[in-house]
Amino acid sequence: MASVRLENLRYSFTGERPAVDNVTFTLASGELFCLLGPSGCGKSTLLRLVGGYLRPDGGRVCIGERDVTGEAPERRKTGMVFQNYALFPHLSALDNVAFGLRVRGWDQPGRYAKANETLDWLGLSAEERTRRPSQLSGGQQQRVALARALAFAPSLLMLDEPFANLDRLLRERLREELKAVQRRTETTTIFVTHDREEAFALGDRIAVMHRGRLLQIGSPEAVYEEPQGKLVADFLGHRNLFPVTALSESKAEAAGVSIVRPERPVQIGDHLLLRPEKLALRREAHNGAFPGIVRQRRFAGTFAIVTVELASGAALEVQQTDAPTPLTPGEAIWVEVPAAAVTVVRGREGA
Amino acid sequence: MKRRFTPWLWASPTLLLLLGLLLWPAIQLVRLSFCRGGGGRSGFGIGGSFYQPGTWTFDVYTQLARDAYFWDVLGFTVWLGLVLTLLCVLLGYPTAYFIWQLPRRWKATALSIVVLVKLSSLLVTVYGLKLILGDYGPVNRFLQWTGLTNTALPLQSSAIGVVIGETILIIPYTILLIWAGLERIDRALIAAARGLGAGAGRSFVHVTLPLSLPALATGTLVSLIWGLGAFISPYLLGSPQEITLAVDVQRQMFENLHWPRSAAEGVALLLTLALLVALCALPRRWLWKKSGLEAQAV
Repeated sequence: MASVRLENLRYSFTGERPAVDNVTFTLASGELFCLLGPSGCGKSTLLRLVGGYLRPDGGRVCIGERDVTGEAPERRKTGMVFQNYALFPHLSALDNVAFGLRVRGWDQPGRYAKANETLDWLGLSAEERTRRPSQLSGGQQQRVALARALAFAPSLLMLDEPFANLDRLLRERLREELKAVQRRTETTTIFVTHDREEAFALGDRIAVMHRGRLLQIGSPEAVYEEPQGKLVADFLGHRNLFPVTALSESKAEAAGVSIVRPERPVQIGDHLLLRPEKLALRREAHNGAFPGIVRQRRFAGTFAIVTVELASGAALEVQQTDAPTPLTPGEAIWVEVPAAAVTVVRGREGA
Repeated sequence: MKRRFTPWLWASPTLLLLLGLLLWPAIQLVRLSFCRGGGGRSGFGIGGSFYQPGTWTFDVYTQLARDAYFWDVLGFTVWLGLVLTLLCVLLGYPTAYFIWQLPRRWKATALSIVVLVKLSSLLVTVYGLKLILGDYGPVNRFLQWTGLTNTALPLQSSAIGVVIGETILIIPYTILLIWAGLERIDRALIAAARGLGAGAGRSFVHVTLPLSLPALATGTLVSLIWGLGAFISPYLLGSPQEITLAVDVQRQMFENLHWPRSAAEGVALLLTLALLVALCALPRRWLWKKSGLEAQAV
């Protein structure tokens, strides 16, 4: 459809720190881009800047070849799905979907045909299409909002936490539907969420946003494997993040655990991320394993999370996939830390 | 059972007031209109012939039906009511829309300006207008100074004065009602319309206007009720040509001392009001349905 470029986009609400601070990124045509960040990080503001609802303090927004920075929302051809859906209460579901075509001067048969086609992709029954939004369930309203944003073939689709008000099962189903319809229409899409699982499942690429700035952009795998900075690692839900306390030629020490110095450059002030799924637990003393005491065991179905208190007092989480006999709190244990379990996380945020 | 009863309990002081001070006198009024005129004792100690208690007759009504003067007054009342309603809505909607668009901190100021008229005494307002609109008032002086007219325009003691005065008295209600309706519209809907490609004009026509229709209908209805009952402006700003039913009811009662006729004219005014309100209320229900807002009635 169209590529999208943001260049040094800046915006601040009066008298506050910047809500969007020098944001630059480019979306490839047809890409599904997830903007991930805690609430208040400026991701919704960024969407409103791209949609033309706010005028940026500086920077540019380009959709395709066109610089749309100064253009009104109605001229940008962007489809927006609002968090509360913002469906027109006085129109039927079908008329809601046909709205974008109606204001573009499509005749009634034409716009209804197109609206029906779009709703077919999302599986809304013929009877439900005649209903008013207030007579539809949350999931159905969500589908109508998505269809409405897609029916006029926008250059860019934007979704602002669209599934936030739905229960988990429905959320996962709609996620799949969204992905399918996005692939079918090859619409360039920005999806805003605070849910990292959602971002991982949906995004071709993910951008982690914090206090108006983009900390890291990359594929979900890259962002997960190599979080750039402690803030990103924290927000992605990584545990076992310990500051490096001592360095030698061959060793690095964090949380009292001395390990082989990783290949990547590391310095004091950086953090070591010890991945719970790659650590191993031993019941007997083992060469190169670190002693500790089991403090807690949390069963999570296919695996269990064991919290081990190390000699240094640091609490380490270890994911245990198969344990012949469950560990009990108080038990002495040895933790093995293979080199593959260690990731260096830069100390300075965003660096 | 208890839960059904409680709301009635809360409303009971108001209900008692309505029953005692509105419904009962209204029944008395209707009864009075069927009495024979003259011969009664006033109780005011000034003699006269107000009505004959205990009599039953249609005299007053047949008299009214044949009285050209009554039909003139009724005609003017309805004309004035409709003109006032139209003016209040046509001027009130844009004003309400303007206030709705204002930034939050200016809204309170704008709204207090709207209700300012209602904060001063009715008589002060209308007498003030009489001075402002008078032959030597600022408006006429200004018009003559600009050379638009050589003689003073009849801005008071005329239909123009009545319309201006009564519009000023009614329009705050119209504005407040329409504004309240607009305020209920989710602004995200306007944003959504804009994003879908509707410019400011189209998003007004397709979204804001339909969603404000219920409030517009309520505003129209209330303006009409006030407009038909117009009394003070015709009384103080009108000439003998601008007599409304409300004014004539007062005159029949206190000047002609013909109470049954006064009562009958009151009944005629109530019936006219009921008829016009019913005509207005029918499309109102339809509008509510159409706007999809039944669930959130005002």
